Amino acid sequence: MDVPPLMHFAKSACRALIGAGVSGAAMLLVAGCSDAGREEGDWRSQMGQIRSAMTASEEDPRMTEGIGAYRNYLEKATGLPVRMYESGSHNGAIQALSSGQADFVFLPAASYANVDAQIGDKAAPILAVRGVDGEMGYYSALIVKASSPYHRFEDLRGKTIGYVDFNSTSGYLYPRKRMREMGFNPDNFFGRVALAGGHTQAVMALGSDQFDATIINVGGGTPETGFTSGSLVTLARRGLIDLDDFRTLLTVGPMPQSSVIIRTDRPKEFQDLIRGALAALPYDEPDVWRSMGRADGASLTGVTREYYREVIDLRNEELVERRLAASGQVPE
Amino acid sequence: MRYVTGYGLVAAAMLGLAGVGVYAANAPARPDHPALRIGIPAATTAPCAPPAAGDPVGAHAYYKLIAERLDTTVLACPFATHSEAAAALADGTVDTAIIDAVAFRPHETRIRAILTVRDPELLPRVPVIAAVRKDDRRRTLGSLKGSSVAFGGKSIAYYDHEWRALAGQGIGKEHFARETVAESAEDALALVRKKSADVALLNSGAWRRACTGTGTGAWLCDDLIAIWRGRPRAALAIAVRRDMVPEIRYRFIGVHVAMHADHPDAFNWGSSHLAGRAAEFEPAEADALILTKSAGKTTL
Repeated sequence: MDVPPLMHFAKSACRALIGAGVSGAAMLLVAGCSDAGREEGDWRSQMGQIRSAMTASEEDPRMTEGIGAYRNYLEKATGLPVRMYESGSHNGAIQALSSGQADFVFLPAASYANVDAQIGDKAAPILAVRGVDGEMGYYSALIVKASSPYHRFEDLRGKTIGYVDFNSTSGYLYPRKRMREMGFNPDNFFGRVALAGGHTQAVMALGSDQFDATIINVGGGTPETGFTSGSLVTLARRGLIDLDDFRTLLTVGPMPQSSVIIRTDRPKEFQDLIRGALAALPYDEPDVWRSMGRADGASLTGVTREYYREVIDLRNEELVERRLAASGQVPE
Repeated sequence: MRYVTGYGLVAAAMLGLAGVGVYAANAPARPDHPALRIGIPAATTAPCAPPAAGDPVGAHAYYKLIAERLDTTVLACPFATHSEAAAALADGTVDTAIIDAVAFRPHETRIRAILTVRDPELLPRVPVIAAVRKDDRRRTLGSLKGSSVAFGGKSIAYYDHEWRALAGQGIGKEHFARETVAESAEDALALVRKKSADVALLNSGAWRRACTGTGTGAWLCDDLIAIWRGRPRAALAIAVRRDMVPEIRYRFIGVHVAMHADHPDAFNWGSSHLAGRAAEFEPAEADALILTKSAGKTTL
């Protein structure tokens, strides 16, 4: 097992002192071995392996195609076997992290807020995506079928809305915030509410008339420049839909980017190593980075919980609203 | 004052008992050296030593943080020039050093960049693409001397950033006979297509947006070719030996990329050696300090 050269000497020194039966003043030095008891590769022994989860539907299902190269990169960086779990929804990754079955995950902001509500400071965001134009946010779009009679948001009163997931930032949390800002209560404005389970599923469900409207993530641009990423564009590029079949009624954002969330009860050495290895990935292994569905030129930047403060507060407000709605206390 | 933790305390004490100069800057490079020797720009070159009591508060915060998180003793190694620092790094007498491109060049096979800083007023070091028509036989930036160049706009993202990347390759405005600033990235590429310009320079985000269609597998730039892709060269970077153990390198990077947020005192001091203003430490590719292999040769 690899042991960093910088530590070789110190560890040998500890063993030598202890083995020689030190006395007197030297006892003080042995006290310096207090984090002793630790064996070679100690944090690795504690970890044994590294477990992570990826949500296939976050933006592009093909994101997980690069999983093999990504896993190899992490194994080379950490010297430990890496197990990657693919989750069909954000909730799978949330629960894996919250229950301690995963050591770190990539999650959208609202999903981190869920984790934060469950386990608090036992998990922390360490890196967030920075876009190719240096932006730290992305958008969502409320779309309808182009053949529908809906041309304004107001036209959707009493209709069926398909959200992505309760844990989706762009497909649930921020659009609902925007609706409230526009003077509409999302809990009684629509006639029926459904959850698609993913951005791709949301588009497909809209296309097959299961919803009248849905809300999905869009990126790779701004409302001014237009968008070049997100599930709508991705599906069109694969020939599964025609963009002309859809119409955007509303864009919302920017909102905080997805982030790497790590268990803080894991060894600090591991946390720092993962932060460093992932931050270096777009620079050292751009092909691996792109194979994960990430944009050339995008990168990861260090963040803390504070970056997600607004999302955490929003989610808490949402929970209150939903409870009030469930008890029939929400006014029009 | 010295910052040590656990093993480092014992290692330093044992070396002291053995009469070995633990802070000797010119001690032979040893792969199992117990201390992390950090090269820092200074007025005069001096042997590696523990941070001095009179050092700034930020310096103590920086060294203390590194010592704690890398579980090692930290020594400060002052260098009056980047060249001296780079030579010491290549020789293995320091473990990290802040150096520039000139200092990097003679040692580029043995050392690499790992960190630089992001200027809050500029784009991050996003790659820039130079694209020409596929039927154009010129395949290097150098071969485009005297040609006409098109940009996708006059903003920081579409103009300043691209020039910054070219400047890092030693290419200035005199390299091109004519420059055109188009309304958009798409328009810049259109100028190349109709031979009103020879090359378009776009940041990688703009290139992707302009070339990505919405039809099945659509790539709208099959008639063009990217002959060069490079990030703006870092002016200064923290460098390490290429054979540094990955774990130490990644942990060192990991501590630095979070520093602006969780240890601002340490960040302000640590980043001040790299730039007058910095928003955060930004990882850097190994060759961030050199002309990419592109200046005179084909890379793509």
